Amino acid sequence: MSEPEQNAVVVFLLVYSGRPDPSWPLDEGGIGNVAARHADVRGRALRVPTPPARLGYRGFRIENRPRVDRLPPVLLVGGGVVVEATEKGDSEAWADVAGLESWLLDEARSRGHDQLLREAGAPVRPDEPQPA
Amino acid sequence: MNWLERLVEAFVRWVERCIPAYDPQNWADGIQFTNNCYNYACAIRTDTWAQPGRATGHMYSFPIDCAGIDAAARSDGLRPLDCDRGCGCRDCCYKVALAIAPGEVYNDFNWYRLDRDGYWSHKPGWTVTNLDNSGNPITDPRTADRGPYTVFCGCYCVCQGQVTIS
Repeated sequence: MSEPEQNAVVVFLLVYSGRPDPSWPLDEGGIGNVAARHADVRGRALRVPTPPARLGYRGFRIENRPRVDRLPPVLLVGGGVVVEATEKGDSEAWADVAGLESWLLDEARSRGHDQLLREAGAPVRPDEPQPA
Repeated sequence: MNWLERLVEAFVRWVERCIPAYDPQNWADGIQFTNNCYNYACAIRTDTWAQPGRATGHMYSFPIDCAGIDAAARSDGLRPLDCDRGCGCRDCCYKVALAIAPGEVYNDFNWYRLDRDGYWSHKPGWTVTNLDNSGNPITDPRTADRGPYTVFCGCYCVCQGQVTIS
């Protein structure tokens, strides 16, 4: 995997199978944004099935390395679903009614991953169907 | 069961001992985050997100293409094979396959392996599956829906004790 900061909340853009995925640390504002959207999702959404594994764009993984109180250890976001996962693989999935994936896609584009997302088949907006 | 059936069954079991079972549960519990499709295809856990050629000093270069990954994989001990043939019984081997995503920026590789149940499986990112991008069981990686991994490179044999990856 890529070498992200050891003591930060890190976002991984889940696109590759063989190569390490791109990643970046979240600053305090980003952490607050994710925490608020996550709380919104948990408070309002119904539980839904976890999206299937596939090649190409799959979404994002948010790794809470410093164990910030407002976030679970691991969040997976993609396919309109937010999955709260433990490091051991247990998980709960919720519908992404808070626009977390959309916000993360904008973040990735602002960091220069726009063409990568397009070639990997990411939706322009998450509510758009992904290419078959 | 007569002696002939028992003999056939014993032979099948002897051949199958070298072919991995579809075992997604063995690639979970945390290790899915540190082992990729190359680890999975080679059935070797390194916890390093293994890269073709890195263990043997012949790491591939960019842009990723079939020739580059082929050279790196051969260096690691994988043996190229006609996809319509088997790996034989002389050594303890099973079949894997390679595909490439040839994008200008989205440039990557993905490995598949043929399991004991006759289906191919792979590890696209962090989850092992035997389904393709259309949700169908993978009976042949050449014809499966591979999403952006549009270039099929070929097949290889992974033989017990003869492959080194890191």
